[in-house]
This record gives sequence, structure tokens and C-alpha cells, in this order.
Amino acid sequence: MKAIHRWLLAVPILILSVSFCLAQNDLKLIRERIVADLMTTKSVDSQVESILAKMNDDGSFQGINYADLSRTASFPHGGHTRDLVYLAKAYKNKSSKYYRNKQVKEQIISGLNYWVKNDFVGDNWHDNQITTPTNLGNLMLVIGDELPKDLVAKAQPMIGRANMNASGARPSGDRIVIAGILAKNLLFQNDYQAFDKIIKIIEGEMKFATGERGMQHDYSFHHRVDRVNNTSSYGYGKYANAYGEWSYYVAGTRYAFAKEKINHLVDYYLDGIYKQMVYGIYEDISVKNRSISGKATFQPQSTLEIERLLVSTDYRKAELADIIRLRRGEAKPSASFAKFFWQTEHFVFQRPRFYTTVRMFSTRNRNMEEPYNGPGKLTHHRADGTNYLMLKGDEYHNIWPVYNWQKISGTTILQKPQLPGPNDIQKEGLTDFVGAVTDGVYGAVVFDFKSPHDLVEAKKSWFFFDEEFVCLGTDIKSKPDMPVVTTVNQVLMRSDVRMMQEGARKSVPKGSRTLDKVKWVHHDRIGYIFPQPATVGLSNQTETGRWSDITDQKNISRELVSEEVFALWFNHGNKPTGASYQYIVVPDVSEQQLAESASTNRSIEILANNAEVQAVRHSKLGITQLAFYKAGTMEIEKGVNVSMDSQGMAMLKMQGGRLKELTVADPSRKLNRIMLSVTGTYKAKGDNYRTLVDEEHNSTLFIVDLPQRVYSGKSVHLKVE
Amino acid sequence: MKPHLVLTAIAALFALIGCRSKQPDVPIIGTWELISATTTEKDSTFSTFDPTRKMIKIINPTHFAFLNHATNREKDTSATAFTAGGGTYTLASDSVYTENLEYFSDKNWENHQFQFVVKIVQDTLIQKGVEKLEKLGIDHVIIEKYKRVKQ
Repeated sequence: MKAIHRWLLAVPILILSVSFCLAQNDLKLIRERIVADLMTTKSVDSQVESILAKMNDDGSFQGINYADLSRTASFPHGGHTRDLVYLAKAYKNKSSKYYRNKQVKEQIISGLNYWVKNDFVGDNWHDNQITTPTNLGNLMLVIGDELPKDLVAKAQPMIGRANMNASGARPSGDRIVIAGILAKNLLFQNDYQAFDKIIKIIEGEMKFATGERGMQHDYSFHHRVDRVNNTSSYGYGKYANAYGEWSYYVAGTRYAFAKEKINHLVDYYLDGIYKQMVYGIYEDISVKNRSISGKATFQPQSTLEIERLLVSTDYRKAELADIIRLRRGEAKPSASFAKFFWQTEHFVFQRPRFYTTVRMFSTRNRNMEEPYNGPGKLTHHRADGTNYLMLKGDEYHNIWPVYNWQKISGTTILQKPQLPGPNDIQKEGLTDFVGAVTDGVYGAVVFDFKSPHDLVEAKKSWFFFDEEFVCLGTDIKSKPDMPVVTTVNQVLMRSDVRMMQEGARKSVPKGSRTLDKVKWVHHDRIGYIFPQPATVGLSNQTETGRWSDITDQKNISRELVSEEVFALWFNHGNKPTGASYQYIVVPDVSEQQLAESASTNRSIEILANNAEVQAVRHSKLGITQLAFYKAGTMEIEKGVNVSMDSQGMAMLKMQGGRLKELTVADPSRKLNRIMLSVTGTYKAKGDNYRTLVDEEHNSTLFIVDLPQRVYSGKSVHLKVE
Repeated sequence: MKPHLVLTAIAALFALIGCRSKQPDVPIIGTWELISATTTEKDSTFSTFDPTRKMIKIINPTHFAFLNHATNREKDTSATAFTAGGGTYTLASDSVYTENLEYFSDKNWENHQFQFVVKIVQDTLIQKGVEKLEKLGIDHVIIEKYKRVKQ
């Protein structure tokens, strides 16, 4: 009996021991992967020399103002801990001249000593909960085992400011980052039980959080409850990439993330992030917020995040592989899509040769990120219907110090002597008829715009086709005695400017002026056609400014920057009442092609541009797109009427006078159904629609159920057999 | 300021307040009598207008109510000889009319929301929409026409 008892006791102990050993092995593997990741950055000997040269005897660095911990100083102290990590990597790198160099190790100890003695705490929580713990945590993983134990112990409370009770760990783009710092520190401490809990928290972060901070059901990302789009900022590096990084670290171990979570991340990359990047390759300036005022580099994004995903899943592998090829320059863009982010009021339209966007806001979200910590102090109007167009992706690259922030492409803005202060940037939207209709390939956008800054009103819409798009504006009103301007484009000048004026093609000499009777303008492979010859403002000249002019951050260059800038606009005059505009944009077109096609307006018919309806028909494609601000009727082609019984948007694809495809949407988000009548009889029925045929009047009423709740604002597309 | 001027100012103020408290000039507000009704269920459309009954709908700025009775009450002694209902409503963009049915002779219909589109052509109100109540197996399209009841 005693032997049996001993066995019974031994089995659980054995199981526990095996489990402990396996966990330990997994932790070792995960830690090795993280350290290998840290060590992939090259250790350049000259850089090590330069870091050592600027170190003082007390372990501080020259060039860092340790006394200034203010938000606008941007925490240069981060450079101190970052450089210590750089030294540690050189010390551990066999190919470095400083491999196991005693002096380097002493300097690391000296630098860490200086840090723990002073414990620099910045005014911005991010400095203390992310920047410092990230660097010190990495330092521990790389060299911590070789540092004096008491010094390591003194650094722990500073690393420990990254914890799940920290203010920055609330649901947002920062939560995974903070959890990740904590997880790395637990690996350093070999605490597998606590690590297990944290890794589960990270895994659980891949989820929809519509209406709250996090991923929305349209795959856009809201970092804050202001519902401003943060997909390509917090939602990319700090959320998606941080998640993907951990999914890679734990792959194949007992901590591996569930397949459906990783596949959810794939969807988020492909349907969210990459659809807010130019061709999925380059950062898109349309979706940048306050970071727009920082100097950027124009380069393809890394492929690492995708390679890491493919370690764990084959889901949508071909699409991911396409993005890798594009980013490596092994393929040219070939994808065509239209996507409306209905939770974010942002529209993206891509063809192989161009990428364009419309940024808006409504009563459902605020217009722009607040200029936290100083940057972005002139971004008041960047969501007022901003319509950037990119053929390559660098058309607006670093234009910002010389930019006219009241002449933003696509917007209608009151021209004030100066913009209000930074505290007046973020505003609630005042209108709810803001949205788009799209079948995923074509689409139209509507923005019933009322500026919360100066109460300018305009009914704006955009209609997108394969080789051109149409921009309409009407019912433009404003009360202050100042001009109101709609800007067609303001962009870096990359070529001569040519135009057709009063039937004659001519060059536009450098300068700024008003031009009458202009039929088209051509600049940098883009044509701008005015269906009716128009009076426009055109500027093609050198503009100057400073990076320090567009931010309240300290330590920003005050050097004068000059850039040649092209700008084209309509001046609606002072106190306009019922002003309007219309123009067609033709991307990637030669002057000759533009001249040949402008006289026929490229088969485009503007059916209406009034306060009740804006509608455009592309006769070659057989597509008509309509935005009804209220119930109304429109003849879209001879003998074919479309009647909308309420406000709403519709897109009809016709063939031989018969309706083939119908797409509808409700920008107001107030409708359960849309009722739309079309000439002709269509006895059709589907899961989300039904028809009532009126034989007597040769008309069919389509009753279409609209998506509700988290999908409210999304289009419904029907194929009519 | 002289007393009569003060009184005049007060009177003007009251007149102004009086003007403001007047009902807004929204065309849907008023009393309407049903003159035709069709229902489409599955693939068949049929008239639900019963000439032996009369129905009026009363719409004020916030609420609606309808009253429906058999015109010959002496002959019709059934429980449905008189039906009525009402509740609050919203009207968006002059056409999207949403009824919150809070009172109705048949309890099963109460506390449900029905969204319609409305169109007013001179003295005629056309109300179109889907009535869907899954638990009662109801899912049909109605088109009703009403004539404004003149005073």
C-alpha cells in the first residue's frame, strides 16, 4: 500500500515537473527569439565610438537637456537609455570591435547608474510607461545577466512602470505595447506564471471594439473615444505590429495564439491598414493626424510584419504575398478597390495607376486629433473633405512647412487672416449626412458639410470611376465678410503648368493669379477639367516656411525651407449664398490625352448639382451615382427614372437600358430600409431586399434592408437578375 | 423708462413667446383620413381598405394616434369593431417617418418601432413601409393613402 501511495504522490509531482520544464523551455525559446530580434540591428563601430565620446564621467550624455521634462521637449532623455541598449548590443555582438569590451561594459554600468540615481520622469506619461521601460527592459534582456545585481534591482521599479494598471494600459493602441514590455521583463525574471497571464491579455486584444477605443467593425482603428481615425498610427505599429511580433515570438510554443486571432489580424492588415496606405506600400498622408508636422522619409514599409504572420497562418496568403512583392519593388500595383470606412468617415479609392482619398467627419466622430504635446497645430481643416491624389505616393512629401493650411486639396474653407489656436482644432461634427455608396470597386462620397470652426456650409460630393473622378459642390454659404475657397489641389510642383484658356493651349508662367474661362489645367501627369469653362485661382511658385512654424514642440529646425508649390482653387467670394463648383480630375494623363478628351468631358454627364441631389453618370461605364439629400427623382438616362423615397445614396449599373446592379447606402444612419423606384419591371428578391412591381406605371420599387448597429452606414450591393 | 413703455415691452415679449410656442409648420401635422390601403405579402398584393370602416390618424408635433371603427356599429358587435393605437414618432429629412407604437388594441403590437417613408402631395399623405414582427410572423409592405381632414 505504501508503494501505491508513493506512486500516487509521485505522478502529479512528475506531471508538474514536466510541465514546469516544458514551460521553462518555451520561455527560453521565446527569450532567445526576442534577443535575436534585438540583435538584428547592425552594430556600427563608429556609432559606438560616437556614443562613448559624448558620455560624461558621471554617466550622463552631452547634448541632452536633462532638466527639461516638459511635454513639448519630447523627452530627449529617451536617447540616454536607447544609447545604452546600443552599447549593450555592440558588447554582445561577436562581429563588433567592442565585443566583450570592458570599457563599454563599464560605461553601460555608469550610464545606468546615472539613470537610476536620477530616475527621470517626463511630464508625458508615455515617457515613463513606454519609452524608459522599453529601453531598460531591452537592456536587461541583452546584458542584464552581466550587470551588478543591485543595479538591476534599482532599475526594476522604472521598468515596472509598464504594468497593466498603468494609465497608458487602458484599451487603446498602447495596451499591447505596455503588456509586451511587461512580458519581456517577466521573461528576464523567469516568472512563467505571470508571463502566462500577460500573454493571454495580449492574445485577447485582437478583437472588435466598435464605439470604444480599438478596432472598429470596418477595420479602422480608434485610439481614443473621440473616434478620430488612428489606423496608420496607433493602429499599425503599436497595435497590429506589436500583436504580430508577439504572435511570432510565441509561435509553436504552449503560449501560441489561437489561429482565429491571427487570422483576424490578417483581416485587419488587409482590409484596414493596407487599404489606408498608398498601394499598400507607402504611408498615406491623408490619414496622418498631428504627426503630419514631423519630417518624414519616403520609403516602402517593411515586409517583416507579413513574414511573421506567415509563420503562423496561410490565411489570405496570396494577398499578403502580393503586398510583400509590392514593398520589395518586385511587382507593380494592380489592385483596384473602393472602400468606405463607415465608422471613421474615410473613403479610399485605388486603381493601379492612382490612389485617392476623401477624409470627412460627422456628428458621429470628431474632425481631427488634438495636437497633444505640440505637433499638428495647424490641422484645423484637414478633415473638411480633404481629397488628396497620389500617383506615386510622394506628391505631398514634406510639403508641410510651406503649406497653406487654408487651401487643402478638396476642402471648402473660409479664408481667415490666421487659424485659431491649437486648442480650437478638435471639434464635434455638426452634420450627419456624411458617407459613401460603394460596391467595393466603384463608389461615390457625400459630405453635407458645416464647418464647426466658422460655420461655412457646403454640400460636397465625389464620384469615382476607373480613369477619373468628379467633384461637385453646391449650396455654399458663409456669413463672415471673408472669401470662401474650394481648393482643387495644393501639391508639390513637379512640372510646368499648362492650360486651355479661351480655346488656346498655353503654359502658365510662374506666379499667382486669377484666370478666366479655363477649360482644363495640366500639371504633373494630372488633368483638371472644368465641364463649363471656369474662373479659377492658380498659383505655381516658390513658397517658404519652417518646420518650427507648424509645431509647438521644442528642438525643431528653424531653418527656412523653400519648395515650389502648385495650387488650383475656386474663390466663391465673400459671404457666398448658394455658390457651387464642379470639376473632373484625370490622374495619370498626358497633356495631349487631356486636350483630346476634355471637350467631351470624358463621357461624364453631371446630372445634378443642387441642394437636393448631386448625381453623375459615366456613359461609357454605364454607371450612375446619386446622392439624394432628400426624397427626389432623377432621370438617369433617356426614359429611365430613379426615385428615392428618402435621403440616401445609390449607384446603378445599367446595360441596354436595364438595371444590372444596384448599390445603396444611408449616410445619415437613420434608416432601416431604403426604398428606391426604377423605371422597368424587375421581379427580384433576395435575403436583404424585395421588389414591388408596378406594371401600370412600368416601375419597380426596391425595398432594401440596410445594415444596422456596427454596420450602419455600410452599403448594400444587389445583382439584379 | 415710462410705465406704458415698460408695459408695451412686456406685452411685446409675451407676444413673441406666444409666437414661438406655436406649433411648427410641418406639413405632416394634422388629421388624416385613410382613403386607400394595400398590403404586399410574399408575392401577392391586395387591398386592405375596408369601405365599411373609417379610420383617422391624428399627428401632432410629437405623437400620432389612429382611430378605426366600423361605420355600422349596431351590426358589427365584434371585438375589432373599434381599434386604436398611438405613440411617439420622429420625422427625419421630411420623409422618414418612424412610429413608436406604444398603445394598441392588440398588445402584441405594442412597443415596436415601424419605419416608413412619407410623401405629401397637396392634401394627400402617402405612407409606405415594411411592417415586420417576427414573433407574430408578420412581414409585409404597406402603402396607405390619407386625405387631410379639413376643419
